[in-house]
Amino acid sequence: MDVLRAEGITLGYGKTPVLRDVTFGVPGGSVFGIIGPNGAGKTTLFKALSRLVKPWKGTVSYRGADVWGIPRRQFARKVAVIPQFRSVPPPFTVSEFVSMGRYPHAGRLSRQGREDERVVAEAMELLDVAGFGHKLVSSLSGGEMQRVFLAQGLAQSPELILMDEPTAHLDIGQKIRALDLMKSLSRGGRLTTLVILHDLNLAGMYCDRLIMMHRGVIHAEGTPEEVLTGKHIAEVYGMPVRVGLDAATSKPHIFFLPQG
Amino acid sequence: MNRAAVLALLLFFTLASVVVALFTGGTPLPPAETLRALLDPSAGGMAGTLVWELRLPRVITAGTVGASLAACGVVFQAILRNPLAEPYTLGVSGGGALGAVIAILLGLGGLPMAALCFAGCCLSVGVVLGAAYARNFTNSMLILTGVILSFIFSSAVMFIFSVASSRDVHAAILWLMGSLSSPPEGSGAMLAAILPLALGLTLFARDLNLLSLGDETSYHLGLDARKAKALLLLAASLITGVCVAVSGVIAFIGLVIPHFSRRLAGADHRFLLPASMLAGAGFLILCDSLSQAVIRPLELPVGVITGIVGGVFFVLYLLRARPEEVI
Repeated sequence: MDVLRAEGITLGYGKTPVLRDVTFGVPGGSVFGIIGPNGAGKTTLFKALSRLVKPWKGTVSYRGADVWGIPRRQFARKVAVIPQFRSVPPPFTVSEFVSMGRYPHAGRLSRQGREDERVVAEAMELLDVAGFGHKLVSSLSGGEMQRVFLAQGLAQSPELILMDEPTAHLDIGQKIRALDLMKSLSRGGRLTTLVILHDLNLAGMYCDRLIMMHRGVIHAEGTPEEVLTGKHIAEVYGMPVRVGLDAATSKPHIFFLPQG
Repeated sequence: MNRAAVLALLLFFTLASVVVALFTGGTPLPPAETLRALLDPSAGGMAGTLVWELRLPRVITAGTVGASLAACGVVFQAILRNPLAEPYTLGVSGGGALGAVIAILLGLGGLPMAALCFAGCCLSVGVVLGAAYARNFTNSMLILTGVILSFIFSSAVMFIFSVASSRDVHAAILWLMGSLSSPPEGSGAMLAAILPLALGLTLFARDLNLLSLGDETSYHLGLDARKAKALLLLAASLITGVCVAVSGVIAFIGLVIPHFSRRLAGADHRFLLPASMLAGAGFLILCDSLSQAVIRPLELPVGVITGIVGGVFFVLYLLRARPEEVI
């Protein structure tokens, strides 16, 4: 059964729709990628999926229930959202900041318990930020900060994590480690991941399924092999590419062809 | 430094300031007699009256007002995510002051005066919040609105002064500068009512942590930011209103103390709120002692002391702080 499902979503700003009748489902335990050029409507779709903006038409459902019928706090216990742009936080230490991920699980009067501490320590360990737990988040580099944001999301112990371009500030090694981590958590069946990615090769390597957005509609949907074709990429990005298959992983690999 | 150690240190500071304040004051009393009066409350006499009926109530008032204003500063800074936010800069104190000046000139005191102060505070918060929700104001626009409101309120106060009789004006001006020397009738009861409210803010420490990260992050972590903000701002206005009614406009506590405490205790409101309240209480108690000691037998308005000490301290702090430690 789909963990998250979008059904006929139409949404925009002012009177202009940015998304038109978008329908797809995210299977449980998968890594699901959204790709597409700038302005295709990816971030608007992300806002609707993360229950931040109510669609004009259509529904978003989590395990069959309309997300707008789920109380916000309860939703936050199941779904972690990592938006693309976040301001530099006030001078919290890394461990304080990651601990805030436990907020939806905590009562007003209860103290942080053993279980909370265990989950926070595990999230910090997984994202390799435990070594600087006492440092101020505001003093970290962009890549370190991004890992701390991800750790806060994991500390929510979510079943579904939604990420808008989570690897933007990471170097290639950190990108691979972060995506490896999401992949391995999903493989354990503990986590379903929905991720917007700009890098088509990374999307092909890590995602089980992809949708390619173009001008507010889904242009192509399916496995990476089905979506990442020369034809689709040329239609959506307006540039010719050569698509090969990686011998070791048999995943599609895109070679760019500079013009002129 | 470890967080518990910081809180212990600040508790020690507050208690030490209480001791200093009990042993000093406008009317001199030899330390030995003060000690005797403290150890034997039933002895009575001049020393007993001075210590138990003048100095101690004044210390309690100063401590409560200092702690409350500092707590309000923390709340405003977290909610508006702006280092300049505090009751004074947001026009909340200014609104309260306008209410109080009207009350003084009408010859009102005690609870009616506090009610007018609270109404003034709510008016500023209402305008600031109304603008925020209706026009989608950014946080810096909110601060700007507050600063401008302050100017409008102080102009309104000036207007009232320029048409009122000079005797009333003198009383009102002295009071406006902030003083703990003559709290109006019923102050004790009002302070007793807001202290639990100020302490109760610590129950919202985790919500304040989230709010300080911004609305979107709060939202995704499951907090109803709008409701939490409205509730916390209402509480902070009420607390500020009572403080203004009791002691006039005491500048800078809500600004300086939270910054200073954040440096010591960090940004986590579970520690920051109690730390600020302890530091605010101790600071105002000490400033009040100083205000009685500088040009004895005259007494300076304590707002003058907090303004100068706090302002200088704050500039030094900003010059030395690293940017990432400031919100």
